[in-house]
Amino acid sequence: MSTIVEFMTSKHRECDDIFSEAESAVAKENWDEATIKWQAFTDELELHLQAEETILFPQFEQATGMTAGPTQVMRMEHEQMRALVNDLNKDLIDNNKISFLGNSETLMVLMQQHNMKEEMMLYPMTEQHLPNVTEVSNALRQHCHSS
Amino acid sequence: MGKIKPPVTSTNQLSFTGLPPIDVPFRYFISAPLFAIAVALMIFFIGDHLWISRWQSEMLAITHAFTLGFIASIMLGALFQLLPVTAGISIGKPRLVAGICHSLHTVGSVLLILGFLLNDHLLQRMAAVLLALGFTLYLSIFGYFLFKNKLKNNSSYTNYTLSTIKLALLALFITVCLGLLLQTRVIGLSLIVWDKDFTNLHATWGLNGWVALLIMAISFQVLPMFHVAPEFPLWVKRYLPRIVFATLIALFAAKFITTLYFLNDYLHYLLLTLNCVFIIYLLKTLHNRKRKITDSTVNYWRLGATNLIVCSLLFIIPEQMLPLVILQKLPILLAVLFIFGYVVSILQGMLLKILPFLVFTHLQQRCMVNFSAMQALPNMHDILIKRHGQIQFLLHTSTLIILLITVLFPQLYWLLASLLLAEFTWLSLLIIKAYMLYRQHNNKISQLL
Ligand SMILES: [Fe+2]
Ligand SMILES: [Fe+2]
Repeated sequence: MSTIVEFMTSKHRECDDIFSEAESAVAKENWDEATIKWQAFTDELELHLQAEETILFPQFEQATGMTAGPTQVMRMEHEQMRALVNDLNKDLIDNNKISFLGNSETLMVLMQQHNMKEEMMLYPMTEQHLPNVTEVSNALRQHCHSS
Repeated sequence: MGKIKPPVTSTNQLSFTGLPPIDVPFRYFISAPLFAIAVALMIFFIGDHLWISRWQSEMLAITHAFTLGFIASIMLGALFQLLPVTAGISIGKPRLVAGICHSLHTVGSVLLILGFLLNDHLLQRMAAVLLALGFTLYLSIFGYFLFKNKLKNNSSYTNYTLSTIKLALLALFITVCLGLLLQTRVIGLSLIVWDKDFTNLHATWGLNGWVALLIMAISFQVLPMFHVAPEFPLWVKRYLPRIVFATLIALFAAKFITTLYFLNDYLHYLLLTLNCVFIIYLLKTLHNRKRKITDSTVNYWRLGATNLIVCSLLFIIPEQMLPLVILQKLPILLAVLFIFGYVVSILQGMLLKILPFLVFTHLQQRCMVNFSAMQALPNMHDILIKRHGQIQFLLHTSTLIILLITVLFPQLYWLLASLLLAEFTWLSLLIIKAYMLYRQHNNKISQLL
């Protein structure tokens, strides 16, 4: 049974992988493939963000009593990611390669520094403080594989 | 677009937004290329007799302008940002610390370069004092925060970037001590026998220790992060930096224990081999990256790797197999390949990523308070235009080629000086432009709040 850290970290990597495929397709101006891959990426990302917002963060807040701190920052960064994803959706519809690649590099940076904070601090802290790690870990899996 | 309530960050528990103000790294980044521009001017005015030997004081002025002035400045400045981003450690009172350390470092470097150039011992002595103060302060403050974090952090997660940064800082400490010991000679205090071996120790600890280890530390982190590349093998991350460090320590044994002196050359071979092992894994990691987009940074990694490999081959090939024209200039060629071909290439490649990363991340953090401001943010390619990065790469490659030719045929020095001037003026402009863009957008965000 893998832990919360391992599972959620592996999900970050999966997102990165699909993201890269979509980006490569755009770079090659292969718009049909790009659209399919991009859709797959945004679905996967949205599931992940929701799993954190509805399951992981509330558990963290409950266990640590920190409701206005780290999780609040993470939630706002999720909103910023969603805003960038929206911009990228538009670029894809317009087949605007230059704008897409500028925005995708930006989303990459935003995601990576966000993920790093989760992987280095938030996830390990959650595991340390939670009494029911296995239960929460299962709930996260279920959510991420729900579609 | 509704405003989201600003976060009440408890930075004392979690340094989530523990980024230092952006001017902290940028003050180092802005001053660094000025040293390289000074090198261009020195090469131009000294003329072709500069290239005769590595031991001339003019050559010392130039190497220190590059290593202390350019390379060390970039690295010292970048660490203020790298520690919070990669390890969640932030340095307290960063503006004050950076202000003092940067001033001591810059003024000290300028005086040292002038001291070498004019053969002025008083200037060299003043430089030694300022540099010693600056490094001692920097290292003790960084050491303090690293140690404090160790006490706080008991998670099982092993951060090899962090452990390698620690080794790099330790190597910097030893480099500085050796440099100061070498300088005691100018106050007539011969604490050590001054010979080429000691100078070599100083250079090896600096280049193979501080600089090469820091490059390893950073690449362990940024390759997976920016290029979606696989992680380096665990043994590389865990053991390679430690073996490098142990080899460096063994160099002292070879120096001080007469019966072990024969080891000296082998240890240098070993150091270069270890660096090559690292760089081959780096190329492999880069080759297997998922994000296939080629950018100037990827080209810089490849260029740097090629130079390191050529440098090692040149070092390993038996001397009798080398043509005389190369053999005569071997030490300078090796230094050029390692410093300008390997280190400076990698540093420029990293800067092309770090500059837009810093500007964007700082602006993005400010938009946490006002979500609607997010829409006005420049994207990564607006901050550093891709074509501008490509021009930087082209300039650097041309300078490198002409530099290698000039070592063999010094009469081309004027062309080298012009290219160096062009390369580092362009780099300065890129850095200043990124900083101005930050200021401009930062003001815009302030008006929205
Ligand atoms: Fe998240
Ligand atoms: Fe996450």
